[in-house]
Order: sequence, then structure tokens, then C-alpha cells
Amino acid sequence: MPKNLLSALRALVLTVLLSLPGLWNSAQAQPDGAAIYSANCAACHKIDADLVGPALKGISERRDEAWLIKWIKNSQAVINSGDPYAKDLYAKWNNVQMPAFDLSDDEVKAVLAYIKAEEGKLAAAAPAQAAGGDAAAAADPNALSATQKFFMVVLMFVLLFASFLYAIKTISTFFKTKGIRILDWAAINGILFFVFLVVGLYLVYYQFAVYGKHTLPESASEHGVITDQMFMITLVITMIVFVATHILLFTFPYLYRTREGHKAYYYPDNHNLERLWTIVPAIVLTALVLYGTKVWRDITQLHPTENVNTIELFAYQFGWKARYTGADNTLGRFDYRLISQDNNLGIDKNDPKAQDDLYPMEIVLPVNKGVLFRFRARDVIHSAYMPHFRAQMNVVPGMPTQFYMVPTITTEQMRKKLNNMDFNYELACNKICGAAHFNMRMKIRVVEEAEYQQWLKEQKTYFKPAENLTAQLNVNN
Amino acid sequence: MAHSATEHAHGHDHHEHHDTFLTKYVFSQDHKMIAKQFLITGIVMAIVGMLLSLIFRIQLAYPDEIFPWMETVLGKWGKGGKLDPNFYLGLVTIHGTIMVFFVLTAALSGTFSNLLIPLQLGARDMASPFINMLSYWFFLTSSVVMLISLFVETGPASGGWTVYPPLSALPKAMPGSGLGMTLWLVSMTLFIASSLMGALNYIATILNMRTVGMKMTRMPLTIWAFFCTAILGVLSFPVLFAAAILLIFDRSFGTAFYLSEIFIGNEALSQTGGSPILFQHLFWFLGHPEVYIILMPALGLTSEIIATNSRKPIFGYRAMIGSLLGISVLSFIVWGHHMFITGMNPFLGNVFMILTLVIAVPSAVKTFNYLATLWRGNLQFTPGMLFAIGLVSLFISGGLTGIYLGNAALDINLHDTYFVVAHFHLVMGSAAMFGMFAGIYHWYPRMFGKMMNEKLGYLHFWLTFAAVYCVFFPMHFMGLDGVPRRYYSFTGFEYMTEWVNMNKFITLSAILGSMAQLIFLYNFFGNILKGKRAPQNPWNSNTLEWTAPVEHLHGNWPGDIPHVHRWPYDYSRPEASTDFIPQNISDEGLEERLGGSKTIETPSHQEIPSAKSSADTMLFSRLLAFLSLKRS
Amino acid sequence: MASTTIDQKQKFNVNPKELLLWLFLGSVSMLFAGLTSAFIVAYGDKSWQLVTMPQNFMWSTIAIVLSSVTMHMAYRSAKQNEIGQIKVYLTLTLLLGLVFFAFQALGYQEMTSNGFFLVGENTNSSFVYLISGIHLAHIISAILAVIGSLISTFKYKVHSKSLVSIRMTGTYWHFLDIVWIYLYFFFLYYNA
Repeated sequence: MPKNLLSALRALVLTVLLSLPGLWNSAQAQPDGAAIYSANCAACHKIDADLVGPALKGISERRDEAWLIKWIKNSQAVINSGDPYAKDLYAKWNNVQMPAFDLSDDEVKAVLAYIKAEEGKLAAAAPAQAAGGDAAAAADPNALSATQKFFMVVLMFVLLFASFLYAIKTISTFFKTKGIRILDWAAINGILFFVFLVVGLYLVYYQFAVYGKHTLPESASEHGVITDQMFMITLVITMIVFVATHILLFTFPYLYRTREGHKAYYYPDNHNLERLWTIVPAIVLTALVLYGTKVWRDITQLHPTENVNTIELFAYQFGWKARYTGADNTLGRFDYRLISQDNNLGIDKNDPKAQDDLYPMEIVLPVNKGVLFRFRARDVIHSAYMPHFRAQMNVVPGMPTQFYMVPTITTEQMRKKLNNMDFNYELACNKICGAAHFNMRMKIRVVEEAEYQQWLKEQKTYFKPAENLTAQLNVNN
Repeated sequence: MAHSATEHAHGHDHHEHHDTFLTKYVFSQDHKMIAKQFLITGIVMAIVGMLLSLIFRIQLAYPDEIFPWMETVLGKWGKGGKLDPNFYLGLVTIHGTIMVFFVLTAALSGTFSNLLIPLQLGARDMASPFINMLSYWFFLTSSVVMLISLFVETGPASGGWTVYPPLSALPKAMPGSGLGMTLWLVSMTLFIASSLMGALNYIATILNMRTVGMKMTRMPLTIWAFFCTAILGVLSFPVLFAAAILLIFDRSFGTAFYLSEIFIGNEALSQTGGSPILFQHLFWFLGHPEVYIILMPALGLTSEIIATNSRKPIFGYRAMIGSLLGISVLSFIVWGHHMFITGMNPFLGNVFMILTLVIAVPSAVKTFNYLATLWRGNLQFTPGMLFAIGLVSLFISGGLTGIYLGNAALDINLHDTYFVVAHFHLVMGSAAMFGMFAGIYHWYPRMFGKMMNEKLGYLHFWLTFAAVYCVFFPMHFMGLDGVPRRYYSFTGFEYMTEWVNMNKFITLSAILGSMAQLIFLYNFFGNILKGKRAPQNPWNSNTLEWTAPVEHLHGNWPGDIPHVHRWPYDYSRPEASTDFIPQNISDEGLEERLGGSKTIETPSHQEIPSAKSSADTMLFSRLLAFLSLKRS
Repeated sequence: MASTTIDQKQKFNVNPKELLLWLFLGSVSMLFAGLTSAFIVAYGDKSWQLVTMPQNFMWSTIAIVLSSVTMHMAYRSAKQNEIGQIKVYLTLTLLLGLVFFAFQALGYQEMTSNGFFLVGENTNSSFVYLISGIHLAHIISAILAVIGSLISTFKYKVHSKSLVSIRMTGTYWHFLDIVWIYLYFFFLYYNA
């Protein structure tokens, strides 16, 4: 009939037209399975072992692709539909839900392909390992597990110590029967304190020297340089107090130990001394605090708001999603009631400001330009922790928070400084949020302005352009 | 039957009451028995808390290993020999809850407040022995409920001991937030009731039931510490109760006190208008005084033990009281330093930062006073004294890192990292714990009428002291490298993986340290029955508890309660022939010791016989000489 | 059951049970202080709506104030050894307490019919229900205390030489009265 023919023809034309943007983005149309896996799945899954969720090895054999696509896009819906395998799986994993992912079918397929590829790599490595393992096992069939090694170390410590004590006891009893007390316990304890002091101070020094090298590298942000300075000043003051008080505390025991003819000196108070050690700490602490309030104010309140990149970080159980403002420098409107399997971030698609919002899979920042992070949480309190930038801010559902900083060292520069070409800045979650709290990560790259602009051009918008037009046209039909 | 134990001239033994097993050991209303009940329950809970920590320490040290015994011990939470990440968080939560509340609050305060308040003040018992008994039974019940929560199907509460909502309010957020969290709330409600009942009793007894001559300024510092602690408890626990009530309503009735705009379990929840930060304000309003509720009794015990075993008065008795009062008042207005990066108004951050650094001053004063007490003392190294000295060291180490954390700008990068873990484990988990050990060793003869083995005590101290520093000091550096706390494993981030080896060292130290506690347990329990009988006053101490007979006696003194004539720190008075003058020795009794001199008051009101004015120069002179800055 | 307090000579000449009561009232004050502080922190958050205080709460306030008057009269009667009057005034206090309870319940009914619920999007409303509800729970225990005093009066245990327990009942009652007045005007102020 003519009416249906007409609508069919319209649909055909539109399909051709609508695939044009797709063709235009064809360079980006091949989804990067590894990147998607890393951004969405890696928080809870490993390929070859259970973690927060089951191991993904062999997943394509266990379930067919159609089921997997439905499951990954909205696992709760599959469970609610009564699927027995799904319900079983959910119960087995303590009713901890996998979030719904706004991935396209192609993107899911890319992830499944990536998993298969990784499986293959592991299988290839395994026989070699097995061979090597066999060789190792053949060489040492009595190889110990970690538990056994541990037990042996502990047992060794205990036996050594027990024999040492037994020896002391025997010798001391021997001398006691002869009427000679060789052990002056007061002196022994006094000496032990002194030994503890020497060994302790050395170990403290050792830790600073050795582990001190493994603490964070120099600050990669402007404000971080100042807080690091403040840290060093505080460190010097506190270490002086630490060493001085401990020298006194651990030498007094030996010096003033009880012994024949020794009496204590009756000295109940000294008001001048007490005033001194009340006022001096008060002055030092006041100075520290005044400095601290100034720096805190600078960081949290006195930062610019013009000419600043605004980036939204959305935290959820268990991952991060970033949203950039696009050319209009404004983020589109958020409403938590709009969150769905196709709209993970809950953005109002009718808001004109939302149309150009970008949805990258990593955070890229231009060096030396101010960035204002705005944080939202979907479900529980998380915390955005970027230690290399000395930045942290809680991410609270229902209460947006923000943090301003200026990155000063590019990833490349930092790699050179650290002599580590695999280094990356990281975003970690720092407020207990559930089982995969320890694995919520997102990479941050700091690059030169030119590279940043180039990268921006390559990013997809949050709303797929096809989406809007199809919706409109279906209404018109 | 009426228990009127007034000061009859004919003495107390006319009133015979026959205790059954139940009334003597189970439903006892005698403060000394209740103290022991708190202690034993606390030791059991401490063992449980310690074992929980060993399990998660093993996970941290060996994140990739399979441990078949985990499946045997933990069942489904150790499936396949790997610790379940949900249960890891449950272990961490219950470990924290048990240690902070059940061991360091109830057992530390409950044991020593109950034991010492009536005995040191010259009272027959607490103001209300019945409420005192209830306080223990609520504590025991709450402990049982907390332990049961470990075994429920969906797991124990797992949102950290701080149980912030929405995580703790929504069972969909983690399995432990279901029944496990409900049981946690039930247990804590009972616990709060227990603490309040105890605190009310302590305050009433201290204010109202001191013996003749026991002015407030003649009370031992232990009593001052328990007094301040109890006041803090009375004023701050109800606010935790308020926080819990609001949380119960949010969890069970769908209110929106803490919840707002949440999408979870594939649906948008209807609650709007609530604030998770509100919970944090209410929680930390208790939470901060709570840590001083833990620390002050430990400091009070230390003051007593150091003075007695240095044979010297505690230096600056009035300053010590002043600093206890100062810490108490300040502790109410610094809670926001736990919330610097919640996104609260930055101006508030400034306010809390300033007040927090002020609270460091009285703490510093106490430390210097301890050092001055040790200086030129006649130091007796009992195990109690060793632990007291250890406490001072740990208090210094842990307290100094508080200065970094109290500075909001520094806290940005240190909050919720291992730096914080190191800080509070040194200052609570170690210093306060050492206070508890010191108290047990020192007052064991009073509690059980027997002596503990001194050499085993030395061994226990040195092993534990080394262990706590080995376990917690390296954690500072992990925090400085940006390693967050409550992480199941460090293998998720490259920059953290280098610390897995450090975890092995820490775990080994923790295991060895835990085994050292076996020495203590053997010493403690073994000597209750088989130990040497204790003398009346084994440490030659001045305080009144040593004048009560060693045998268990209702009403504490067989005849009249002793009257008090002096402060508790008359040790090594130069004119006296003995190096201690107990509080109950009257002027007549004193004349013999002094060869006819007048009564001696608290020193600040009188001249000290030896050259007082040159004492200052002598002190500085010696210090400088010691530091080789002055030719001696 | 052995007597619950020790009769040692007191420092402050305050009966130990009474001192315990006063300290307990300190705790309860902190509970209400914490709850009302929570209200203040939450106040004015987005989606905050005002709540109309029910008329019945005004009646209940009047009832509880009157009940404090009768409670005080009961205490005075005890001091004057007018046993009969004690019974009358304690009974009046008890009745007025129950009237207070009834008006509170009617007040809740009034609130729900005006669209203010305990559970819902109006946090303000939730607070009003919850905080007044906790106060009401304490009133129940106070009513039990009054009943206890009444029974003691009938047993001739309340007279001018045995004033402690009736004084304690009175203290607790007056305290809860003051708390209610504070809460009522607090809610009125924040919902004006």
C-alpha cells in the first residue's frame, strides 16, 4: 500500500543519511576492546581468576553473544526477567550487582573479542609456564607454598629466641645456686632502652633514606609545590622533637635506674619550666597553623573561575566516567532520575548545553592550564584521589563537590624524571565504597596544549548524534 | 537484703551475706568483680580483633596466593583459598569496631574505672552497684551480638568502623550492609547504653563518695582522668545514638536523613534532600571525644605507674589536671578535622584546623611532664613501668603525625591513606593498648591477690614494643606514596605494587607480635590460680587501694574507711625516712617519719626543703651538660 | 534484690540516685541537642519544604505545662505531709500526661492529613516526627515513673521524711516539659 511504501522509503533514505556521521567517524567506529575493558570491566574482573566478579576466561563458551550483550547492558533486567542462570549467578556472588553499561553492541563485541585474545595469550604462556613449572617442580618437588614458608620463618624465629632465653635462664640459675646474681634487671632494662634508642634511630634514618625514595615524586601541580614545602617544614620540626624527646626518654632509664644507694630527687613542679614548654609549643603550632590556613584558603577558595577547563568526574560502584564540556564550556544538566542503561551519566538530552559534552575514556589535561574538577557520585560516597597532583575530594551522591588545580608536569616529562616509561598519573578511589574499592582507577594524561586540542577533536560526544534524530523521526511516523 | 555499709564503729563484718556462685561471679554488684568481668571479656574481644587483623594482613602480604586453609576457616568467604573482597572489608570493619569500642573503651575504662574509683577514693562501692552490674551485662550482650554478626549469611557490617551512609544504609551497596549492619547497630545501641551507665556511675561516685580528707586536689591523676573521660562519654555518646537512630530510620523506613539522589540496584531511589555529610558530623562529634575517651584513662594510669615506679611525684600535678581538662573541653570542638575533604565549607576547615592544633599543646605538656618525672628518679622497672615508658614513646610518635593531619592543606593528600592508619594505630592501637597492659601488670596484685611473673612481663614488653614499631612505622611511608587505606590489594595500581613486599614485612612483624601476646596470656591466666600470693603493697605505692586487704571483701575495708591527709605523690620526700608516705598516714604518723616537722601540704603552697630556686638552674645545667653544650 | 545504692556519707549531701538522675538528664539533653543540631545542619538544603505545625501540638503544650504545675503541687503536698493531696495531684499529673500523649497522636494525624509524613521527600517533616517521637518515648517512661510514685504514695512511702523518689519523678517530669517547650518553639521558629 502506498502509505507503508512511503514510510519504508523514508526509512531507507534516512538510514543512508544517518549512517553518514557514522562513516565520518569511521576512524573511531572500531571500538577499542582493550580500552573499554580497562575502563569498565577491569575494576571487578580478571581474565584468569575470580576477583570481585567471576573470572571471564571462557565466557563466550559459557554463554552466547546475545545473552552476554543483554547481560552487560543491564544485568539487573536479565535477573528480573527470571533467567535461571542469571539468578543463580547473582545469588552465588552475594547479590552484588554489576552496573548497567551504556555500551553499543559493537563495543560489547569488541570487549568479548579482547577477552578471547587475552585468553589465547594466557593459554600460550601457560604451557611454557607449565613446562618451566614442571621443570621447576621436577627439580624441586617439595617446593613450599607461601603459608609453609611463612610458618618456617616464624618457627625459626621462635626456636632461636626460645633457645636464647633458655640459655640465659640456665646460666642465671647456675650462678644463683652459687649465690651470685649476675643479672641486674634494672641495668638490663636500662641498657635495652638505650639499645632500642640507637637501633630505633638508625632504623628511622634507614626508612627515610630507603623508603623515602619510594614516596611520591615532586608535585605535578602548582598548589602541590606549596603543600610539599609546608610538609617539609613540619617534618623538620617534628623530627627534631621526635629525636630529642626519645633521646631523653630512652637514656633516662639507664641513668636513673634503681641501684644501691640511689635516691630520687623530690621535684614536684617548676612553674617557669612548665610555662616554657607550654608557650614554646603553642608558638610553634600557631605559626604552623597560620601558614596552613593561608595555604588552605588559597587552594579551596581563592582560585580563578575564568579561563578554566571544567571536567566532570562521575564515580560509581565501581569506576569513573569523565565528561568534558565541549566548545560551549558548560556541562549539560544532570538529573539522577535520568540514569539508565543508555544514559549512564543521567544527562538531560533535551538540554542544548549537553549536546557537545564529550565522553572520553581517559582524562587528558593540558599542562599549565587550570582545571576545575566537578564531582558527582551515583550511589555511595567515593573520593577522587590524584596523589601525584596532591589533590583529593570526596564525591558525594546528592552533593556536588569540586577541586581546582593546575597541572605543571606532563606525563612525558614525569616519565623522564622518574626514568620509567610506563609511568602514568592515576585517579584512585579513596573512600570505602564496596568490594572493588581497591580497583577503581582511571588514567590521567597531562600533555602539551597542541596535543590536547588534537585529542579533543577525536573524542566522541556523550549523546550519539544518530540517537537524537532517530528519536525525532520515530515520533513523526 | 539491705546493704547499708555505712561507717559503723563496729565494722562491716557484722553483715554477713552469703554469695551464691551466681551472685559472686556472674551477676555481681561488687565493683572489683565487675572490673574483672570487663577485663576478661575485653581480653577475649582483643584476641578476636587480633585474629581478624591477621587474616586481612595475610591477604595484603600475599594478594595473589591461594591459601586452602582460608576456605576451611572462612567457608564461602574464603572460596578457592582466596579471601572474598567483601569479607575483607567486613574483617577490617569488625576489627576496627571491636578494638576501638570493645577493647579500648569498654575494657580499658570499664576495668580500671570500676576497680580504682572506689578503692582510690575511699568508697565502699560505686554510687549504684546495680546500674554498674547492668553496665557490664549490656556490654557482654553487645559483644555477643557483634560476634554473631560475623557469621550471618550476607556477612558482617563492612562499611568501615565509621559506617558512613549511603554505603551502610543500602544493602544493595554491599552485602554486609544488610543484616550484618543491622546487628552492628543493635550491638552499638546496647554498647552505648552500657557506656552511659558506667560513666554516670563514675561521675556520681567521684563527686559524691570520696572519703574524709580526699579533696578533689588530692585525687590521684587516674581518678581525674576517669572523671574527664566519663564526662566526655556522658556528653558525646548520646550524639552517636542520635546518628544511629537517623540511620536506622533511613535503612528500615525509607526516610531521607542521609540519602539523596541515589541510583543503585538499577533504580533511582526516591529519597532526596538528605545529606551523607550530616552523618559524618554527628558521628565525629562522638568520634573525636571517643579517641580521648580511649587515651585519657591510659594517660591517667601511666601517670600513676610512672610516679610510683620513679619514687617521685608526678611532675606538675596541677598542670596535668589542667591539661586533662583542656583536652576534654577542646575535644568537643575539633571533630571537623576528620572531614576536611568532604566538600564542606572551606571556612569551617580553617576553624577546625586552628582548634585542632591547639589541642596539641596540652598533649605536649603531658609528655614533657612525664619526662620530667623520670628525670632524676629512682626507676623501678616493673613490667607496668616498662609499658608506661613505652606508652610515652608511642604517644610522642603517634601524636606528632597528628600535626600533619590536623593541617587541612596537608590532609588533602594524606586523608584516608596509610599515613592515617599509622597515626591512629600508634596513638590508639599501641599507646592506649600499652596503657592497658601497664595497668594490668601494675594492678594485677590488687585484682587477683597474686603476682604476675616479672621476667615474662619484660619479655612480653620488649617483643611487643619492637613489633608495634615494625608494624606501624613503615606505614607512614606508604601513606606518603599515596597508598589508600581499606584497600583489598595493592595490585590494582602500578605505583602501589612496590609496597607489597613491605606488606610481607609488616605481616610477619604482626604475626610475631601477636604470638608475643601468648606470653602475656599465659602469665595472666596462669597466675590467677597458681601465682605467688601478693603482699599488701607490692609497689610501695601511696594510693588508698593498697590499704584494702588483698582478699576480696565487699565494702573494701573491714573496719572504717581510711581518712586521707595528703596528696598521693609524697615519694622520696627528702626529710622522710621512707621513700613513700601513703595518703592515709596522718600527721601523728608523719611525725615519726619527719622527726617532728609540721604537716606538709601539696607542694605548690610551700617551700621545698632543698634549694628550690637553684632547682631550675640545676635542671638546665644538667640538660646542657648532657647535651654536651656545657662543660660539666 | 540488694539495695541499689551505697549509703556512705555523701560529699554534696545529694542522694546518689538523684545525682545519677541529674547526670542522666545531661545525657538526654545531649541527645536532643544532637538531633536538633542535625535539623539545623539539614535546614535549607535543596528540596527543603516548610511544615505547618499542627494545632494539636499547641494543646499538648498546654497540657504538659499544666501537668508540671500539678506535679509541683504533688511535691509540695508531700513536703507538707498531705498524703491525700499527693494522690490527687499525682493522678492529675498522670492524666495530663496521657492527655499530652493523646494530643501528640492527634497532632501526628493532623500532619498526615495535611500531607506531612514521616517517610517521604520532606526531610523537615521526617525530623519533626522523629524528634517529637523520641520525646514521646521518654514521656512513656516518665508516666511509668509517676505511676510508680503514685503506688508508693498509696503504700505510705511518700511523705515529708521520704521525699527523694517523688522529687526525682518531679525532676524528670519537669525536664521533659522543658525539652518539649524547647522543641515546640524550635520547630515553630524554623517553620515560620
